[in-house]
Amino acid sequence: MNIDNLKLRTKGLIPLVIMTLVVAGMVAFGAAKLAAISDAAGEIIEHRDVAAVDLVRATRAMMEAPYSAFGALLYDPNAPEGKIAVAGFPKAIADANMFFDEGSKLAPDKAGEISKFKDRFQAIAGKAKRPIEIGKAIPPLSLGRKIKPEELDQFAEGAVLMAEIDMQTRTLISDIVEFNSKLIAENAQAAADLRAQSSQATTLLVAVGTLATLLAGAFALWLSSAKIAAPLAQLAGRMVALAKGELTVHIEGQNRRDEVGDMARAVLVFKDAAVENARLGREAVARSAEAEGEHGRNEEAQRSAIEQERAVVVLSIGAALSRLAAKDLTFRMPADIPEAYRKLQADFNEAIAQLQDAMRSVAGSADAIQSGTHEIATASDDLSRRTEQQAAGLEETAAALDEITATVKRSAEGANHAREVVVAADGDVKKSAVVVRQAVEAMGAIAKSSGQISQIIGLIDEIAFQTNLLALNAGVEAARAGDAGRGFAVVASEVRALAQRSADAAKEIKGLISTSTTQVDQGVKLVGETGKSLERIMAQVTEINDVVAGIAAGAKEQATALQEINTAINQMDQSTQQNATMVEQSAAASHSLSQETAQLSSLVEQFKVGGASDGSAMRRELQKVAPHAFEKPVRRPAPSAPAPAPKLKVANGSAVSKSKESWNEF
Amino acid sequence: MSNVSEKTAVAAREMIAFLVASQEFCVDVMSVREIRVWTPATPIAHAPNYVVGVVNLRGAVLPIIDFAARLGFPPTQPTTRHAILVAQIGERSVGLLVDGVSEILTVTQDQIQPPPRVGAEIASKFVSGVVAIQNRMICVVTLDSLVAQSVDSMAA
Repeated sequence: MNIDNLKLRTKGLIPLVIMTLVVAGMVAFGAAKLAAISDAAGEIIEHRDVAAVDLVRATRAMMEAPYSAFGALLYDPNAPEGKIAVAGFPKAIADANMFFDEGSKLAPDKAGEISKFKDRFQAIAGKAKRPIEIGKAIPPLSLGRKIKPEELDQFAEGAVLMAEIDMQTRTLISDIVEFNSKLIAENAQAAADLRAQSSQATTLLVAVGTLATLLAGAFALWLSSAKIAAPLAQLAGRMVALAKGELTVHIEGQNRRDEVGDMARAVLVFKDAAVENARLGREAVARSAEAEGEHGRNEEAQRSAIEQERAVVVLSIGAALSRLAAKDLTFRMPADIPEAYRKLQADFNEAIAQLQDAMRSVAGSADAIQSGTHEIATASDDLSRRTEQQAAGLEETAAALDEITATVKRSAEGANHAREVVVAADGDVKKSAVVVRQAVEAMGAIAKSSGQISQIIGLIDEIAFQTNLLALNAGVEAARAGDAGRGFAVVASEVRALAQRSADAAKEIKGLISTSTTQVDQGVKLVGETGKSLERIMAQVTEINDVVAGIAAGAKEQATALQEINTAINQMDQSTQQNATMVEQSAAASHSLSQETAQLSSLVEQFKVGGASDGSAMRRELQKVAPHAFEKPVRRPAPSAPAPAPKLKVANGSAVSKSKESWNEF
Repeated sequence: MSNVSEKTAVAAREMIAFLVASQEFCVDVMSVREIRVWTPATPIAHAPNYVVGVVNLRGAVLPIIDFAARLGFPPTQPTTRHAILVAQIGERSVGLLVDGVSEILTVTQDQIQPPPRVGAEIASKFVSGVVAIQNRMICVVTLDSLVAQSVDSMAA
């Protein structure tokens, strides 16, 4: 293995370089993922959801347009409610156009469909102008006012137009609601994808980071234990054995090209020298013990100095790596290191400084992302609140429409009742006409009888006249007869008096009859006029009947139309409530995104990248950690890695339950 | 009645009263033959304006004189309620057209006053006296003077 041939300095740097590369890769991957997620979430929240809300507002304004047209048709144009209705119509059209345009701008890929909706609405709004003109032209509906037939025709024309407009508006609104539901579903899908992506990225980041750290740590451990410490310890053992005089000991690693190899070769030289010395000693046993002891001491001192130097280096490197494994990037290798290893110390410090800078920028990015996701969550909350307000407004509109529907129904019932009353009056008038005709006939009969009586009276008068003449003649004859006719004269006188009384009575009756005839004539005239009046009343009542029937039919149609509008508003209300739910879910998603970002931040914060405040703590930890430098970094990620997962689940669960609660409240 | 009979016993005259132009006149009942209802008369050419014409009275030709016109009043427009008084003047019978016949009065001589001698002599020629009873003024007509000239002239 050629790792043995690398210099110790290089071996010490390899884990550092791997660590740096892993951290840099994680940071780059996390930053790219977060930027992509942030962009997508921004698109959903700032454009797509707002476009959906704009469409809902547009439907609200579209509802307002026919509603205003109805008002303009029904109410007095000079009354406040009429003015509001007439003024509300163009405003509703302008609002709807504005919301359509905003929706097109916010969702350019849906602009074609939104523009079609807008065109359809323009066509409907163009039709609604005619009923408003009719509403201005004809007098308003009011109790007791007669409606002229032409006005009723106009009114009916307006009602028919309004029915058509209402149907088209309903169709259009249901299309828009369907389209909007699709849009919102797309948004929800996109948000869900985003969340899955985010969660996936986080999991990936944590898993890869943990794995890479583990691998790098293991590799560093293996490298420093198997490739640095073990050969050195072995060599030290051999050197100790050699120092003890076991000259037969075998020195390994002479073919290694690193410092250990150099040391092995040097030890071999020492061993050879020792063997030589032993041989020389055995040859010159006679040499003085002082000289021999001094020689041994010198050799001992030199060997121990080298060993001490290496032990210090290994200890420093081990401590530094242990701090690195403990995610402490503030640690620097101390300067009290042998001259030969100064370069190793400088390179280690440089690498760890680079790593510290990289981690610091990662922490900054994570903070920025956290604040961004926090803003997204706030915006989602605002959106959710506004959607709830809109739903409440729609509910109020539905309630107001219910009231209007009830009023129109009542007026329809009133019109029906009026129609029944008019029918009854019509029947009474017809009966009265028959009675009047009979009265006229009776009067005619009375007049005829009076004429006959008059004739009879004339006859009686004539007879009285004749009788009078006869009596006079009798009187004349009696007078001529002288005394003989005296009695006869008395009888003639009596007869004449009777005839006179008959004539007087006949004259009186004639006068009475004549008065009666005049009165009967007058009565006939009056009864005839009454009959004509009744006929006129009958014609008017028939007209009223027609008008009232028209009003009743119109009111019934209005009631039906209003019922349909009510249904549409209720559907809109439900859609808005569903929107509110979806927005709540979106808010919850952004909250959980925020929490996950916070977790990312906390993960990054585990790396100590600066801060003089915890320097002493770090030092204490270093002292504690130093003896077990290769145990803790291996264990620590293991318990910390699974920890976020349940936390994440809990966070999600709480978010869901919260949204459910709020849905129930809603 | 008994009173009347006593008076008549003194100097009673039966007079028949009639109306012409809203005035009451009377003639002696003995000069009246009968009273008839107006029947249309046949006009006579060249007759005076007060002669209405002639009628057939049971086969005899009876001239009819409009009494009002004869007295100078506007001519009468006769109807079935007008009466014809058939009077006996001398040997002739003459029909007098009057507005109506009222009654038969019993008048004593002292109740008849002479007509006022003022003014027209023609009037006094026809009226021989005035009866004033019970707030009534009744002129007593002299038939002879009334008819004499006219009937004579007509006959001539």
